[in-house]
Amino acid sequence: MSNEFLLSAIIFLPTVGALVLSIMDGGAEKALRKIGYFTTAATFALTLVLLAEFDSSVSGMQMEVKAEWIKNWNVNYQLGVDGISLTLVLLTGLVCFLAMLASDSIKKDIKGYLILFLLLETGMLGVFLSLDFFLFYVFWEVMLLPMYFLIGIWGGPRREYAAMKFFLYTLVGSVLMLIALLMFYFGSATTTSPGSFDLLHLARIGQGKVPGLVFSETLQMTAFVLLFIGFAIKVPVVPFHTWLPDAHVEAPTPISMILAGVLLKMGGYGILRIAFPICPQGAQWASYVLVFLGVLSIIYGAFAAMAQTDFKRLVAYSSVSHMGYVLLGIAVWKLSEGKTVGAEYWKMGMNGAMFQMLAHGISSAGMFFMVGVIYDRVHHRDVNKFGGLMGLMPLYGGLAVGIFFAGLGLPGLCGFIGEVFTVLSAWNYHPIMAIISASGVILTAGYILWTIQRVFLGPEYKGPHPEAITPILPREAFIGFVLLGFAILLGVYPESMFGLMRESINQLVNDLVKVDMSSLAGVNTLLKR
Amino acid sequence: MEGVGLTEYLVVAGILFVSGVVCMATKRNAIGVLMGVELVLNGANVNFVAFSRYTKLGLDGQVISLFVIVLAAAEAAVALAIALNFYNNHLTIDVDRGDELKG
Amino acid sequence: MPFSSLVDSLMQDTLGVSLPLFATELAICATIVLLLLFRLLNLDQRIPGAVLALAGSIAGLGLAVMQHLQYSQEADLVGQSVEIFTGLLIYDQFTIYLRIFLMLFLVLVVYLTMLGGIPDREDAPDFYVLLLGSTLGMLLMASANHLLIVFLAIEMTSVPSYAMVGFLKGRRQSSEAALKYVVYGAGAAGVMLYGISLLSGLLGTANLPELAQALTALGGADSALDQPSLWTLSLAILMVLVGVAFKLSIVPFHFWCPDAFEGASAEVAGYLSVASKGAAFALLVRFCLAMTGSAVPAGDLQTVFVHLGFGIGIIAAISATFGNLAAYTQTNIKRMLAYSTIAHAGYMLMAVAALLVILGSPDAPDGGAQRTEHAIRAVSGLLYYLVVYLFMNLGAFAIVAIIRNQTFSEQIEDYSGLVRQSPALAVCMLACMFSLIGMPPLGGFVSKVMVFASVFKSTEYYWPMWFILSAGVLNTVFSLIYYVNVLNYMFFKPPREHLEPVNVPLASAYGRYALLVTLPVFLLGVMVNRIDDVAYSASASLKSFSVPVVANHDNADPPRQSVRSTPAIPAPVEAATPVSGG
Repeated sequence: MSNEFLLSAIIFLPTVGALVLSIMDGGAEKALRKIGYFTTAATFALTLVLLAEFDSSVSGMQMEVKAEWIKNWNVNYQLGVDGISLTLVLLTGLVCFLAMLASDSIKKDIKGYLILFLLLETGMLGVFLSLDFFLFYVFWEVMLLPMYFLIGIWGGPRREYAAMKFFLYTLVGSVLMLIALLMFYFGSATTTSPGSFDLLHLARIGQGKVPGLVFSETLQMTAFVLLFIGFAIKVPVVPFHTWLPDAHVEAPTPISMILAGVLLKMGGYGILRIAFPICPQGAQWASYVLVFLGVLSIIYGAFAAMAQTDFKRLVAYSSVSHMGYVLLGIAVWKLSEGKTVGAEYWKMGMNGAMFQMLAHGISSAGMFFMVGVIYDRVHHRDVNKFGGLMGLMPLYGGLAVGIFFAGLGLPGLCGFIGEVFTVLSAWNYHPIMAIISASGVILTAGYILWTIQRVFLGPEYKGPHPEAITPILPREAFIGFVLLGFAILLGVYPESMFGLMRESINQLVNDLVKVDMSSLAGVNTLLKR
Repeated sequence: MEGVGLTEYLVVAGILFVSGVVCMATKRNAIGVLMGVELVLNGANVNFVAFSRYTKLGLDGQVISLFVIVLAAAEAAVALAIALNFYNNHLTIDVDRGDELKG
Repeated sequence: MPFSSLVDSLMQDTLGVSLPLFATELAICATIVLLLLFRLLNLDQRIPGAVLALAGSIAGLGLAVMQHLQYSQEADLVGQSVEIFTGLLIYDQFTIYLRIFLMLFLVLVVYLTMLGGIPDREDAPDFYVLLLGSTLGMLLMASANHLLIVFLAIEMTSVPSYAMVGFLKGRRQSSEAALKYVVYGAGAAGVMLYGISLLSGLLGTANLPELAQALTALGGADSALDQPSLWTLSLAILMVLVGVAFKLSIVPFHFWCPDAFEGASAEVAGYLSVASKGAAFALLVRFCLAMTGSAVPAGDLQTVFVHLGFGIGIIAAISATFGNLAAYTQTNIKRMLAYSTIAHAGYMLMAVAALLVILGSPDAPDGGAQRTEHAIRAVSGLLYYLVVYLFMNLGAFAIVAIIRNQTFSEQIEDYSGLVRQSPALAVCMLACMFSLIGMPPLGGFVSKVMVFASVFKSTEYYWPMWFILSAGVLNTVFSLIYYVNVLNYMFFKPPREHLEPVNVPLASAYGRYALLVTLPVFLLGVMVNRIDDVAYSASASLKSFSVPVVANHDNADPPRQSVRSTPAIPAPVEAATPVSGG
């Protein structure tokens, strides 16, 4: 397949699958599921083809596609992939494939579920691959519709509340993003050319590389704040995170896997692709607040997780905590007298943040899946009423403990790399922050080990439906092995991911470092440290 | 005594307009409200004819007022038919008594 | 001038130029006459009134499309406008756009009434006469060039719609709704007429293009402008806007809307919610452009127009907010959709506010070089919004009508579980609701972005417009909950036991109609270019944008603006200016 069509094929193959499903009979369950497996597997295979075609020594965009869409407004159908998007696309393909396998636990209205699932996958892939802000926005919002219904129809007891809360929060973020979109469009207009939605072009303007056209500091700072709030809701960053526990808890297991594994990464991706490159002055101005919020998320998430008795809610808060490292790593941009100090550390932080996104995608999806496996059997999630599962379901116990250790950040597993790099990069920025975030590791270990002890260890199972605890099914074991395998692979050989992303991330940092910050010297940085 | 000029006509039209609006706002009888509408329309008519006489508006003003007379008649016919229908259903012509549609 | 030559020139103008360009309206008139004749001669037993009305509407649509093709194919016609009927009406691409919009809508509504069975057989000719008459009034609204036509057209639209709302004579709610509507409407029309009388008297002309010139003469920088005159002028303009605001159901002239929609049948409510908005917005745009010309000349008038624009923006924001908030508590779906109509009228009005601010503002970015371009964009965004609004609102009301025919209920909670019984209908309603919220990839999103973009542009001309923009953006979020509430009932809740099941498969006539109306909602979100281009050229063809307003400072009669003649259309002979009396 020629490279021109590869990206479009990756995005729209799930849509084709959804269309095929829509004309099939709703009662033919097995056939419907087969189409679902096949479509997600094929999409994942295409992402592997993308990996094979990708040249990891190039830092810029590859396989770019640009076609006119809305002529009068200069909106183009523009796609492209670089190191940042490639890794996320791979993650999406993998997690969606595994979540589709896990969807056997969904019993009613399979056809609608699968169609919405595939539309959701299209939206997510479109977000990661689009290079036109308008197109990005469309895919971003396209994600909301299926998610709302997936949570609201197939979810838990409070599903409608959770779905509405998710929709509302994300929509508020989206409309703020819309204002920023309009600001960029009109700000990039000159007397000879209309405004532009091209993210690459806007980034060049924001970084001062286009002669005669700049985004003023006010515009950059305002747009950065608007964009950051919009993306921070997705990451999620405390205090914009309150939708997450409800949505995660009420969503069915496969959807929780996708929510934690992929959707949260879209916030971080948005910050890396849009907020930082286009508004570097705004990013620098707000850097201390960002670092503070990152550390706050880490600590708050960890403490909140420790207090939970609902297993799924506990994992949800651990997600909040882990994504705090992502924000921390991205934001540690230290400036001294208008010049960046320790750009190497910032690169380490950025790479670590990106890696943490991938690692969290694997481990969090895994953790939610493991919770789902036991919930499918005993239909409760009270942590205090578990125990002794290791003896009753040995294979499941082993896999689960492995994945939970990956979430904990045990060296040798994927969670460790991201955490250590981001914390180290924070040391250059502000040692106290680094110390606090390092102590977050201790808290994380605390609640995860305690959870493992309560759930898996111990002599006996103390909860209801003990007879339902059957050994793990082959399908479930397959998913667990795949995720644990990747966790180990990423933990032992992180270069597999770093090699893909390094060029693009370092290029981003190099571009941002070169931005002229002298005009910002007169502006008070937010909360001068 | 000074001749009657534009201002006097406008004042008369204004009085007609204001009394029509007050009528529309305060009358409870539907027919009364419609009478208020007619007053307003006729106030505007006086305006038109006066402007036609005293300003550059010319014959346009008189032509417009002819059209308005016809239109007021048509509107009154339809409005009265609707009031009659309301009476058939509610056995009253009091506009305040129509309160089933609420919220 | 001898009388016979006057008659001759008028005949030549009418028969040669005006009537051919008036073809769509003539088709409607012919259909109305035929309907009444058939009713008189009892021929409606043989040919149902519905079929005749549908045939007439399709003929009108065909004629309008032919006019559009003629315009777009002959390059030298592009951007030309012709004043017909001695300057009472104007014919340009904007008119044609609105004609196609209204006729297409009429065809769809007539077809819906045929499917739905309201009205019943004997009353059908009466109903269609009212419907067609109201549409005729709207077509006139779209091409109005004279203040008399403004008033006549608004009345011609409103009076039949009063009767249509009360058409279900036996229902108490229907008669109450009609009474409230007629009282309100007549009052608003009266106030508007008074405003028109003041306006035309003060400026000495009732012809819209000449208004701008007269305003310039009256309020230019070097004229003796006394404050009372300016105050009266502003008052007159406001009073005219009252009439238009009533048609648009803008706060605080919206009180008739929920009651009328609830009392009328769903088809009539759908008709009122879309068509009168479209025509009224066309009228408002023409009126605003008549006031301002292609830019307001510097002076006292500028502050009037900027403040007028900002004031309209505030009212638009209030309407949107009020409509969205009041819709929360509704249990009747037609009432909820009425409040949603009020909110959307608010969004569309924001585009008009942006237009006024852009044209009137003294400090413009780039020294005002792009002013006309931005104003054209504002109008074209509004036109695109109208087209999308046509389909999404009609879709919603059509589904309400279909469900009412099956369950006899219009309560939202009776829509529970629709996805299990008629999945096609539920998905169509989903598309309409999400488009009304403004979610991509549906048409409602693109149109909202266009309107917000033009409001954003106007903030560069006049910074308080930021309030309007924020209100618009926030309202998108406010509106989420009540639209999704309907979908909650349809998708999440089990069906109600005491109701008849709604069994509308996709293959049935109802299902196909719902699909026909909802498919454009998807298409307009993705394939934007075609309609956007048409909307853009329609906006650009407005006279104010193509002909610069000539400031006329002497007190003589301003000459009637000469019409550009083209080889294809014979030049209309200018009728002599009537000799002013006195």
